[in-house]
Amino acid sequence: MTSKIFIMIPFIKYKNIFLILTALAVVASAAAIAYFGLKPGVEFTGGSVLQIEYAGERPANGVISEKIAPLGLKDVSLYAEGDKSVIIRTETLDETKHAGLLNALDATGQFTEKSFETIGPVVGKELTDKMTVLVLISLLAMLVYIAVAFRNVPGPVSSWQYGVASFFILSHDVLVSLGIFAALGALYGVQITIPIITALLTVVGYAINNVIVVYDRVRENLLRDHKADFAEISNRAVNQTLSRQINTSVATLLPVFAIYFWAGASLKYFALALILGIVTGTYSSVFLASQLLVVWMGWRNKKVRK
Amino acid sequence: MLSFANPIMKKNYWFPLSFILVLAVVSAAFCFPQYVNQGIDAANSRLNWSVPHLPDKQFTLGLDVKGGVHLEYQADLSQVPENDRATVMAGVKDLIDRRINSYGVTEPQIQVSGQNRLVVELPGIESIQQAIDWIGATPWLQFSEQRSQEETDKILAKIKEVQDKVKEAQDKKTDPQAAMQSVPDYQLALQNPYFKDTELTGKYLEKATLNFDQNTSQPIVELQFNGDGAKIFEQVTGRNVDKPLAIYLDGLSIIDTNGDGKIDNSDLYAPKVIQKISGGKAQITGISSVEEAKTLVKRLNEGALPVPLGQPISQEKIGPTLGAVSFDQTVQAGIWGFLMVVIFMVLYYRLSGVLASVALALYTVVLLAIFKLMGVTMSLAGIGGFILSIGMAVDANVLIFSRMKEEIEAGKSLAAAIEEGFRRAWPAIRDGNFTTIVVALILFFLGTSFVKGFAATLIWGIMLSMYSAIVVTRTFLRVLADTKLGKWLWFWKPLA
Repeated sequence: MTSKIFIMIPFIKYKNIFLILTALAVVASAAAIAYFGLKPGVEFTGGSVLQIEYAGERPANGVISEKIAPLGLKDVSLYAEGDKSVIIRTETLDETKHAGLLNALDATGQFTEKSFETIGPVVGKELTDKMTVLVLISLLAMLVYIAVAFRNVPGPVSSWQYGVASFFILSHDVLVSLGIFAALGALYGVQITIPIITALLTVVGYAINNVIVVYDRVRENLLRDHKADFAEISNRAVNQTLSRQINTSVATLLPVFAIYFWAGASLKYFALALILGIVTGTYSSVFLASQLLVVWMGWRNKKVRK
Repeated sequence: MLSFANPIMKKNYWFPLSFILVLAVVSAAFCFPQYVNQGIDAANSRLNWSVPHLPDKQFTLGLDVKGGVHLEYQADLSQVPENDRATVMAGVKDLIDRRINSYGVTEPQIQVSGQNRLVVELPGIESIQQAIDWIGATPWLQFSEQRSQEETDKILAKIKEVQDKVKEAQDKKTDPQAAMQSVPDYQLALQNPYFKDTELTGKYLEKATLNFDQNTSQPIVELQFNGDGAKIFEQVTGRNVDKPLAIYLDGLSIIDTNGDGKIDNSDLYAPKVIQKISGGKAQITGISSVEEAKTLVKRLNEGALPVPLGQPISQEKIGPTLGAVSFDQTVQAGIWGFLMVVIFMVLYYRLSGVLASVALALYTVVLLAIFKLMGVTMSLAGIGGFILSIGMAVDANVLIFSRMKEEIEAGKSLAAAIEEGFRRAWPAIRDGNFTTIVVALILFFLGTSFVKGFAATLIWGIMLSMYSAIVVTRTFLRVLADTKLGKWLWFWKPLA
C-alpha cells in the first residue's frame, strides 16, 4: 500500500506484557488508595482554610500553633506556602471564631489575610455524593457514545464491546491518577480538591479522544480490508495513529506544564492531575485500547470453539 | 455546504479567506478596543468624521481574580408550603439584592441555587462580618404614619442644630461625633422628620396578592391582615383618614419611587388612606405599572413571611492581592503555553505547522472576543480551561496532518492529499470533540463556581477549535498549496 517500508512495532504481539504491566499499575494504584486513602479537601469534609502572608519573615509553625492553641480549635494543621505565607486548616469556623483566630495570630507578627474559606459539613457531604455520581455518569456516557458511534462497525468485535473496552480504559486512567494522588497525599499532604476532580473528569473527556482515534482507525481498516486478521488490523491501527497520539499529547502537555510551572498555586495540582491523566490516557490508547479488544475476541472465539 | 474542491471553482478562495480575515479583525478590535478607539479619534479629528467608538467592554473576571467575598446561605423553608418555595426564594433574592445595592457594592452576584440555597458574591469587599450581618438580618416591614406639623418642625429644627454643630466641629477640627452628642436630645435628629412608626408591622400582614380592577384593568395590590392585624389596621387607618401611610422595608422605602434605580431616603412610598378600613382586607390602587405592583407584592410578602438566612453555610474570601498575582501568573502561563505549542508545531510540521500556528493565533483572538462579548466569567479555572484548550485545539490539525502525510506517501498530489486528509480525519475529530463537550456539559451542570468557569471556557474552546481546524487551517492549506510553495513537498511533510 505504501511506497515506503513501514516499520511496524508489534504492539499486539506483546499484548500480554502490556496487559500485565497495566494490571500491576492498577493493583498498585488500588493498593495506594486503600492503604494511604485519599485526603479529601475541605470542600468535601467541611472545614475552614485561612491563608495569611506575613510582612516580614514567617514565624516557625511551632510559634503559630502555640498562639492559636488556647482557642481550642479542632483539626488544626499548618502548611508553609512560598516564603511568607502560611495556610491554616481547621474545623468549620463561624465569623466569631474566624475573628478570634485572626486576633490570636496578631501575636505572631504583622500579616495580611490573603484568603479565607469555610465550608459547612452539609455542603461537603452533598458535594462528595454529587462528584461520585458525576464521575460514573461521565464514564457511562462515554461507553454509550462509543457504542452508538461505532454501531456500524464491521467485523468480529461488536460496537458495545468497543464501548465497554473504552469504559475500562478510562477507569484505568482515572484510577492510576488517583493512586498517584493517594501517594502524593501520604508524602506531601496533597488533598483531593474540586480542581483535581475537575481535571480528572476533563481527562475522561480528553482520553476518550485518543481511544476514539485508534478505534476509528480499526474501523476504517476493517472497512478497507475484510480478510485480514483482526489482531493484525489492530496492530496496523496502533502504528498508524502512533505519531498523532504522541504529538497531540505533547501539544496538550506543553500548555499544561506552563500552568503547572507558572500559574498560581491554586492551579498547580489541577495541572498535575491533567498531566497524569494525559500521560496515562496516551499510554492506554497505545498499549491497552486495541490489546483489550484482541484479547476479548480471543476469549470469545475459544468459547465458541468449545 | 460550499465545496471548494471542485476544480472549476478551484481558485476561488476569496469568500472563506475574507470571512476568516474579517472575523479575526473584528475579534481583535473587540479584544483591544482602546487601540481601535485611539485610531478612530485620530481619524475623526483629521478627517472631520464622527465614527462612534467601539464599546470598551471589560472581561468578566471571576471572584478569585478580583478578590472579594463568596457566601452561600441555606434558607429555612420548613414553614413554607412546597408550592410557594420558588416564589419565597425569589423574594429572598430580591431582598438581599436590595440590601446589597444600598450597601454600594459594584457588580454583586446574587443567585438562587437549588431549592433553598442563595449564593452571594461581593467583589472587592474586605470585611466579611459586615456583609454577613447585613444579609443574615430578618426582613423588617413597617407601616408608618405622618407626623404632625409640630413634630416635623421640631425634628427639622433639631437636625439643623446638629448639622451646624457638626460643621463647626469640622471647621475647628474637633471630634464631630462629640459635637453631635453635645446637642440636647440629639437622637431626635436621627429620626425621620415626616413619618413615625405605627404598631403595624409585617408580623400582622398575612399576605399580599396581585389583582386587577375589573373595570379599568389597572393593577391592584390586595392586603390580607391576620386577626390582631385587622384590629390594628382599623385603628391606624381610623386615625389617618386622608393622610398617607408610608411602607418601609428594612428602614427604606419599599420600592424605588423616583425611578433613579436605587432606593434611598429620597424615595417614599405612601398610599393615601381613603377611609377607615375594618375586616382586615385592604387594596392599594392607582399603581402605575404591573411591574411595580409585582415588586410591591413580592416585598410585602417578604415582610409578611420573613425567611431569615442566618449564618452562611459556606464562605470564601479572596484578598485582592492574591487574585491579582494569580491572574498575572496564569496569564503568563498562557503566553508561555501558546508559544511552546507554536514552536513545537513549526518544528515538527514545517509549513503546515506555521499555518496551524497562524490559525491558533486567530483562534485565541476570536475566543477572547467571544468570552468578552458573551460575558463568560474569567476565573482562574476558566483561564486554565482556556490554556488547556489551546493544546487541544491543535489536535484536529495534528490528526489532519498525519493523514495528509500518509496520502502524500501513497503518491497523491498535495491538493488531493489535503482533501483526503481532511475527509479521513473528520470522523475521529467529530467523535473526539463531541465526547469532550459531553463531559464538559456534565461538569457545567454540576454547578460549583470553579467547575462552571472551567467547563464554560472549555466548551467554547472546543467548538471554536473545530472551526479553526476545519475552516481556517484548511483554507490556508488550500491557498498555499495552489501557489509555487505547493511544489516543494518537503515543506509540507512532517518531521516523522
